[in-house]
Amino acid sequence: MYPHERSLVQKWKDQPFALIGVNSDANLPYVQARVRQEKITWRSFWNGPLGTSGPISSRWGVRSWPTLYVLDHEGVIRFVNLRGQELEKTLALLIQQAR
Amino acid sequence: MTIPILRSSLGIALFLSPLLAQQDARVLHQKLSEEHVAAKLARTAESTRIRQSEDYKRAVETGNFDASRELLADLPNPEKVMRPKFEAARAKYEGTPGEAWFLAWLLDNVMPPRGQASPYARQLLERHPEHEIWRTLAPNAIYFFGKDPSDALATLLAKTPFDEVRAWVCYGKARTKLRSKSTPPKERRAARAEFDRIVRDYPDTIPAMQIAAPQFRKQHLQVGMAAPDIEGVDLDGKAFRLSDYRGKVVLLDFWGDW
Repeated sequence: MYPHERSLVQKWKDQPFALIGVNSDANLPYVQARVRQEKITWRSFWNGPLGTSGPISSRWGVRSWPTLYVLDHEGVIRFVNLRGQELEKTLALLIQQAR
Repeated sequence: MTIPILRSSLGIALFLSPLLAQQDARVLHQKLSEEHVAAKLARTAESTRIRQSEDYKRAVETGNFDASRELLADLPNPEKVMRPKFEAARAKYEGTPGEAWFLAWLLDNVMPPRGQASPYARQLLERHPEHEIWRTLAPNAIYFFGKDPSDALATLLAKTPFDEVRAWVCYGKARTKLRSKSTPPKERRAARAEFDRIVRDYPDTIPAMQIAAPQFRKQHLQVGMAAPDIEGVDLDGKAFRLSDYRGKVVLLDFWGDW
């Protein structure tokens, strides 16, 4: 997953686009180190020491990982769980509308 | 004059010694946990290196899975290396509250024999039922005690001083009832009533959020709705909000490194 995410962030780095994570690893020092190891540049909320049982994913009712929400520039939910090419095309279109 | 001073400092020392022992245990637990993280990172780096090697790629491409398995067989096992250290630390602090931190690590990282409950869970419950470590263990507590956990869970419910622990245990029990197809209708109704009680009695807990989640999704998380704001901290502890990114297209990614 990381290479694909990295390529999206790289591709639209000067565009109105942000990849925001909600990380559900319970072990914070481990995930901090993994972020450095994998050169992950995008920002994530931390779901807390309960990992997948943490407050953000619990409120949103997330039960499978990864779960992806696409929000437009006005913060409206436009798509859920798009993947691959389809995700990329959709994002490109929405970014165009945002400019 | 010297005698009262002596006596009071002795009193302070006696009062402080369990607290200091607990502090001491926290420091050692921290140190061993850091060592464990370093070992896990080394393992991940080594695993990545092997998977990117020509030998490994060739083995996978030619369907030679014995060879690919063989290449990964010598990866270090961080939990196996760390286990004796955590065991020794547990023994050192046996009977003090600090012991609970080491028991919790052992419970998390040492698989019990197939089909058996972890002995560390029993020890944690018997010796430290009031410990704050249960605040992080509680979501999985119903899975710790084997096929019939009801006595163990009753003990935890009676002894924990934390509402959120009680909420998790009650939620876990009711959820298990609802997920099992063999639960008779009457017990099913009781489990749903228990959900309502949890939301009422422990409104600010995560179990209450999970119970409310299907309704929350219907009211706030459908395509076309404004995404609810998220207020939280990033992996460096810095506070931020989802709405800080208004004006940008956002890909919100619930992820984990596993």
